[in-house]
Amino acid sequence: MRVNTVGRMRLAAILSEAWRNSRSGASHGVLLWLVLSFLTIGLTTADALATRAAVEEALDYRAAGAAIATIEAVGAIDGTSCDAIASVDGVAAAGALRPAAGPLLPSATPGSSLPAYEATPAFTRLLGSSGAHGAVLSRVAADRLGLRTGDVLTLSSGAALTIAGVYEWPEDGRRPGLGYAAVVPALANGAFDECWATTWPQSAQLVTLLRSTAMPSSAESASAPVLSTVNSTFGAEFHGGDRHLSRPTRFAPLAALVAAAFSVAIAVRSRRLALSSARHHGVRRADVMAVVGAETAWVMVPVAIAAVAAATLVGASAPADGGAVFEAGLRVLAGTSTGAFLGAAVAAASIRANGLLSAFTER
Amino acid sequence: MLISLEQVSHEFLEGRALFQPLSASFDRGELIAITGPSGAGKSTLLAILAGLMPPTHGRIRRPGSPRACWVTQHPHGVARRTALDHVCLPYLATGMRRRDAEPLARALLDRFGLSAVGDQQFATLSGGQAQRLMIARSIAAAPDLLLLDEPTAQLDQRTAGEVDAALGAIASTDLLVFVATHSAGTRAMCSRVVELEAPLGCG
Repeated sequence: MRVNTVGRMRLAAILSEAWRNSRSGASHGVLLWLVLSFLTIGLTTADALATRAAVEEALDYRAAGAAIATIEAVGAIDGTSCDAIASVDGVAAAGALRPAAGPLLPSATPGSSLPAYEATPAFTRLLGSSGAHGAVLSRVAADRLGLRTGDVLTLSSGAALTIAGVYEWPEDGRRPGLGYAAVVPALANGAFDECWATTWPQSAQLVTLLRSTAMPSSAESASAPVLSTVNSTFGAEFHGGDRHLSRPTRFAPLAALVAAAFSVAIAVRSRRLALSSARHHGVRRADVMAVVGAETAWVMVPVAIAAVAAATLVGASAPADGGAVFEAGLRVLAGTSTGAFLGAAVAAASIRANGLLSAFTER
Repeated sequence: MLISLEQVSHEFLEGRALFQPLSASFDRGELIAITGPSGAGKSTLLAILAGLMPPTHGRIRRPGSPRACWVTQHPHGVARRTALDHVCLPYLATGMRRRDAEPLARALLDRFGLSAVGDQQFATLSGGQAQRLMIARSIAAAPDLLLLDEPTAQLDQRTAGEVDAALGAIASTDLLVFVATHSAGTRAMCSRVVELEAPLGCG
């Protein structure tokens, strides 16, 4: 009848005990699943939504042209230097701009003129158009002239311009002048009035790069180069990152960890008599911890699936950076999982073999 | 000799003495009843025998530190686990496979008259069945020493008789068993009786 009392439970027995406890309801698994699911999905969604809002704010900022920095010095911007900025690491696009000698006179609308600008070849990328060989028109001008990309604009002089692209220039606070205009390519080696460039994330180095495009002669002129942005109504710098870092849900992973740890620890401690009895009948502390850990895993698997699904949904509905939104959700899940296993381990480790007898001996 | 007591007595901090100095030795295979009036220190003596608390007077010798299992007055089982699960666990704790543990557990259940309720949840067992199950579980843990604290105190006469019969089933093992009890039926099952008397000058 005597059996070895110095062995340890087999893995299969640990998993079997955990499964039987979970299936029978002895481990309060359903209640824990509800609590942890509510906690994890709630906080995951809240933080993922906050992150998505920050992503959308950044997209709006960039889409409005607020991230495009400019330097203006009439006739004193070196086009070649400006175009070269585009090749610097971190710079998304750069190009120089100047008014054309005169407006374009489309033959289709006699008596009306179309303001025109000349720009270095890389400039059109700043307008969201890839057209390098031909003119790019603003949406309003293209609609008014009935032109689309690939069409030919015939001028009253008989000359013809291929339409390489159409750009959007809404009245959202961005600088005026380009809302109804044509931008035609020009050779970079010449003097221009402005240099535009953009980086994302924003970099203080960009101002230095823009200043380097001002030709020395301009320093001696009466008007000093003016630094600005294409859309100053959004502010010169994007502070969405700071706002995201100070968002109310930034502590969500920590809150999830603490709440999960307490929830699981309370559930385990509520079974202390049963677990203490198991310890008293030869189950080692490590084996009790393993069984309770496996029970926690049974609970966390569906919680994790639900949380990943929630984070995926919110991430997939984000206009960009869905990965960052998804990652924010996963941080909460990581907090819940860590807290759940930590709470289970600490509570299970606190179960004493003689705990069952405390009341007995203290009577 | 598994345990010996030399002039053992116990006194609480407030100075209340429990029982007169006790000297005796106990060995495997014995079933000892510990009797005495309420407050005489039956439960405290069990705790001393198990090594959970030292006596305030006298000396106890427990060579080899025998492993003790307890069966308390109120059986503590897992409400939704089966009777069989309860008896299997001590075997699983030793590294045994479930398929090897189940026949041994069923044999124990049979020995304690519980084979018919092996697959029932603990919560559905009667008081007598639950108490016998706890004894069977303790036997499965293979202790050297089994301590039962008034196992029939909460039971009616019929179910108390079932538990007494279970004690008879233990008597043939090589365990040293102590039973703290008021019951004449339980006492009759035991091979020896330790009668605790209030110390002189008390009461």
